[in-house]
Amino acid sequence: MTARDIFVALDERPSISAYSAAARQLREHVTTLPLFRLAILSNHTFDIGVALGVECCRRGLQLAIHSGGYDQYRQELLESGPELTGFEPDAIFVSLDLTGCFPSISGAASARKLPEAAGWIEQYRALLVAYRERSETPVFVQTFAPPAVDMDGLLAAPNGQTLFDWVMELNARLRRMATQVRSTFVVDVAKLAALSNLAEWRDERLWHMARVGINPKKFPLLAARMARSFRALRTPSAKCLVLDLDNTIWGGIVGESGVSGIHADGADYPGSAYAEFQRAVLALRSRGVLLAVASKNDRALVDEAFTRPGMPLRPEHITEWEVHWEPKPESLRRIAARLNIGLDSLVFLDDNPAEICLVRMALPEVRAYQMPSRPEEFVAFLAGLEDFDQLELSSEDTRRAELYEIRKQQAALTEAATDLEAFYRSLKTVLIPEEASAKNIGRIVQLFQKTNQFNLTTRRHDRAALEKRMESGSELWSFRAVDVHGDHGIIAVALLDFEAGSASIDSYLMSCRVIGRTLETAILHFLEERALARGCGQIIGEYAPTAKNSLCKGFYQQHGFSPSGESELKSSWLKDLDAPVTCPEWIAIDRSLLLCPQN
Amino acid sequence: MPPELKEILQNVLEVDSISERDTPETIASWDSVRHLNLIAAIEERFNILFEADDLLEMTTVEAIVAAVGRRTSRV
Repeated sequence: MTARDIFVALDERPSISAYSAAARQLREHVTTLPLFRLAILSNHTFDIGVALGVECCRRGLQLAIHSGGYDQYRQELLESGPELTGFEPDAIFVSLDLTGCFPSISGAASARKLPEAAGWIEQYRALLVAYRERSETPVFVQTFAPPAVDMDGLLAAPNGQTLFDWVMELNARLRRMATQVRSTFVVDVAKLAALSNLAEWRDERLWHMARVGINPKKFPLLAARMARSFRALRTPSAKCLVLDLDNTIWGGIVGESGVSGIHADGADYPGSAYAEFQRAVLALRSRGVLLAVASKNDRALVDEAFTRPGMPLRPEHITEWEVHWEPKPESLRRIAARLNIGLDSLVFLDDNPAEICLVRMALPEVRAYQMPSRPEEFVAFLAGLEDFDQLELSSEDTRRAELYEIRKQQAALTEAATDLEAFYRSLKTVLIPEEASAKNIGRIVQLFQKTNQFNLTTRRHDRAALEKRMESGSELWSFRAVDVHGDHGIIAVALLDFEAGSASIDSYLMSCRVIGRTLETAILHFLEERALARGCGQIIGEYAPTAKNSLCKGFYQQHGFSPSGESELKSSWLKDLDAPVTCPEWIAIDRSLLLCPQN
Repeated sequence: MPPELKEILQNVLEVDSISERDTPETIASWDSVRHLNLIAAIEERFNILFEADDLLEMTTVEAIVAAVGRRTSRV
């Protein structure tokens, strides 16, 4: 049985027993997957391992679990015992039961007598901060499911609050607190419980018998939500959403019914449902997802359709257009090439099953999905796509579409410029190096996770690993680029190690947005300058080939390095340093930030 | 033993075969926490809810078979 067959069978009839069966069947498949070591700390009986293992496997992770002692989460966070430390977790999940934390809060409580939530949140914060000071392992906390009943009757407390309100406010405080502690993320159990029938979230019988805080029947649902977070920790999110138009962005076929005949706006069904979907698409865009259109249509007609007032999606929201009668795989290929991203960064949505089938066959890397049959289901469908999952947003994410717009203008400029040097000069590029700090580490980590093409070693260091390296003397540099078109934000990152008179470039990667502007040479100039400043007489570089980074294969050779070793996995390059490589004269390096003390 | 029940016991307790003579002493994975999952799995599959008395009694495969029989025959 293939893993796919196992999941199909499971999803046809999901149950606790079916998950157990699937877990056993998946045993041989799971061994090829990367290991994900999860420590669970909880104050209730919480045996989610079987369902969680299955849902992790579905998302490409092999789960190993360490369960901390019952109600030992405070001790483990304050001073992790040898078992937890020795387990070397990739993440910690802290599952807290409401009554376990607040003994007076249960379905038997009323809003007239409620404990102080702020003090408890501060204690929890202190635990998480204490752990963070010792370890960079990401921590997931959860919101509390409100009790399904309460003893308020029809009343609220004199301040207007109900028990339900109190729990939700506690959850809001918890979320705010979590955003303030590094690498601490929230799994929204309250929302999940509400979605799945709050009255069933806890089985009161199992609670009273054995302190089971969450009904085991809900484990598959919670496991899927947890595994989603774990995957997002490891896997970069998709970068571009490619949309069909007819019966996807709007209702009807514009080529048949004309611009006035399509449903795309207004207060009436189905136009209102399509407009709602467009708003959901725009919400993704504001999270940093680029939008593109791939439609078999007449371009003039499509342009006219986009001028319809009241349609939330505007032409300026779309970064790339492929509107013609050629096959869609070709359109997708072109979109990826122009955006300089991999095909596996594309999500393609179409209502036509034949198009989906064709794309899946021709371009298996593209994540292609068929739209649901009714437009009112589109928003929930889009919200459920895990391809866009991210645990954190950087300021570059929120500006990404705008940044690509700048790049497009530049591409037009390049075409116009006959003299390349004149073009480079016209850009007036300024490169701003800055050492990693709390301010920019989010974006740096993101570049490590996402960059594929200009990435010499493709080592996917996470935040914890990077901070450890910096503590032991390595330098982690980020590079911002500003030019006549605006601020591109942080576009490159390099990690430099120093040892006995030589510097080695552990990682060096650059966003595809700025490839082809000689910035890579300017950055190398800066890195070699650092090596000299640290008293190094030589610099070592490595190139580890992947399916995507052939672009930078000749980088070290072109910059005066000599080969010093080669294996199947990588080639090593060496250069004696007297002076740094010449910085292209059209790029100015702004070192003013280096004078400011960090942190 | 009904085949569906046998399947659940084997799946949840992770064993290839099971008989009415088995108990937590003969099956290593059958601890108190796993027992709760087992109960939930059986209830889910047969769409029944055990009474507190059942739960206290259901400590062997034989007792589980009997309890399931009692609850399903009342439908």
